[in-house]
Amino acid sequence: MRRRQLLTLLQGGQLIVFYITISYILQSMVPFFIFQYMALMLIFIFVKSIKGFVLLIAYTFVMGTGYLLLGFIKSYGILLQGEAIIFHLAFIINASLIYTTTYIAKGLEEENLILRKKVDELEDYVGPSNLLTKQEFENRSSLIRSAMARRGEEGYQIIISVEKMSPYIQKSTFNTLTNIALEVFRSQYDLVGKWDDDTFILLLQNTDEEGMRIALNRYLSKIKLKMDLEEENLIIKTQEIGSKDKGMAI
Amino acid sequence: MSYILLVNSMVFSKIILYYSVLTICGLYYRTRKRVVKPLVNYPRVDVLIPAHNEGRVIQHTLEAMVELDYPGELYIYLLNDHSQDETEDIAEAFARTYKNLHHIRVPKGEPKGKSRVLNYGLSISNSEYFVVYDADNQPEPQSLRLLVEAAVNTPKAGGAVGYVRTVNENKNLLTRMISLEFQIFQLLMQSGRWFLFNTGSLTGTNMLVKRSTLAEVGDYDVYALAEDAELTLRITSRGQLLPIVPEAITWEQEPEELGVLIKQRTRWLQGNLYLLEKMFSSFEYYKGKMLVHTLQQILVYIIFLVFLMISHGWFIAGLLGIISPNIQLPFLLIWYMSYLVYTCQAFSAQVVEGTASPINMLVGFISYFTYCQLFIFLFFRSLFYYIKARRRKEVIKWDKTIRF
Repeated sequence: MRRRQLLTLLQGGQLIVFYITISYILQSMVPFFIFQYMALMLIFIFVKSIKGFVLLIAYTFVMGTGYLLLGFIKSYGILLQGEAIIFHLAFIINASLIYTTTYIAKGLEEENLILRKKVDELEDYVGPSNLLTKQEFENRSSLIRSAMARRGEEGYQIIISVEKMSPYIQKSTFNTLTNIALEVFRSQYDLVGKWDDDTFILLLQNTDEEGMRIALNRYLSKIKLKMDLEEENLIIKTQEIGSKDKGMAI
Repeated sequence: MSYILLVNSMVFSKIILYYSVLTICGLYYRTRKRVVKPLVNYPRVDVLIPAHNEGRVIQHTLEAMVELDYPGELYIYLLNDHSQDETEDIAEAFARTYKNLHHIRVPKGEPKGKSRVLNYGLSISNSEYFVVYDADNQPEPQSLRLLVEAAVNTPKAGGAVGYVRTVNENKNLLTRMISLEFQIFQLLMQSGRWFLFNTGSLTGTNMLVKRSTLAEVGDYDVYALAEDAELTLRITSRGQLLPIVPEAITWEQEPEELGVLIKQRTRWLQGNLYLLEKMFSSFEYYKGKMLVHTLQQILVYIIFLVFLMISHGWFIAGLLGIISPNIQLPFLLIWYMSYLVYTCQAFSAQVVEGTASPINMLVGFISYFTYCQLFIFLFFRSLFYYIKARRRKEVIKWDKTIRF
């Protein structure tokens, strides 16, 4: 059975057990039971699975010992002892169900996040754009660099960061700049890739320094047509690739 | 009668409470993140493997030994105690191939058994630390390094104790129950007691001891059938600690047949009876941390057993209608709590070890009524043979566990 199906089944069971408990078993202590129920739910939401388990076991023992003590103090007869056992079982079955459903749900949520991250890594492009993902950029860049080295060509990598921009407009600026980059640079020849949330990278192949500056100025001019950007807020680093490996900041 | 039942109930309730606390402490210690402190210099270590007719398992054991990932000098000694099977050939092949693996033929001697073989191994080796592995053990590569780090980094440590897991757990119901018993033992007796009292018990295998500690307390007692428990007491009596390292894991084969288990456990219990006899012969066993071990021994083998017998007798007599209680005590609740505590221990151990599965949980539910009750039979069987041997002034024979 898949964990998602198991969770659905357990959640159904949890509701039924809760209803039976408050309607037929613990009618005399409903407020106390609901208080515990809510407290356990909150605790399990905020603590890690294994710590939650230690608490569940401690809860089971403390409740059991409590009933045992009551049994001694109040000299419980066989019927009352049986009732105490049923009460205790009702408490721990409910607690176990809360624990299980909470941690299966948390597990699925964590698994989903991990899978989402993996899918993002495996994708070639960021979302619906033609912007390459970091991994895809690295893969293609590595192939291009090898080919350039073989042919004795030179080229440039330009790293552009918007981290100095106001946080309010970082995202929109990043999207606009990468969209313009995809228009300006030769789509079949040069690479435009996302490095992190506020940095992207361009790879210009078979270009000398002069060619790179012409292309970069064309790009900056295009930006100025659309945006009123203060250049000091943009971090641009260039790095020569191919036969020499030099870096400089503009 | 009422007075006996009242005392019986009170004692059982206290035992339940003690084991509840031990379970929670064991769970806490077991799940706590430990910081590994690597050493600048790793001391030289000798690995001692006593072996007698271990042809079925020794190849896997030696394969695991040569894969131990230990940064310091390491010497492996296969102590061959007159094996008549292929142990000799396998050990020789490994010794010819690996420079640090030595095949040692132990001279004949009496009494037979592991202790004498280990003493011989100690006499021909001289590293700062030695570690003992049974001949059916497959330690994980990092286990020895973790044991040494714990022993060196823990002040006043005379060694360190690792964790034993069952390699053939899924073979049948019996091996699943043995595995569960081991997991509970590690969780409560080892992790829980280490957390509460800073006491650890040597487990016979996957245990590291400092050579200087052994020089101080003396060699293995050749008459002790539970040589690990006996050595634990002597080390503890010198104020030295035995830290528990649950991450240092070895995989061990457990009996797959009831007959083999009964023989093995009879030997272990006779070893524990030997210790009990010693405990009642000297006040030395009631000082300092020794008291924890002594009380544990007395609690399990005398108090618990006696009261368990009373409880069982009372239950059967009640069922047969021989006696009817005229005292109002919560017997049913005590029984329920005993079952609950044991079952929670079983589940806790499974959750911590990642072995929880529907079949293993079922084993946890039924073990209390089946496997655990075997203890009573085993105890009286061992007691019978122990008293018989003592009366005849015989040395109890070392029954080697059959491998599968």
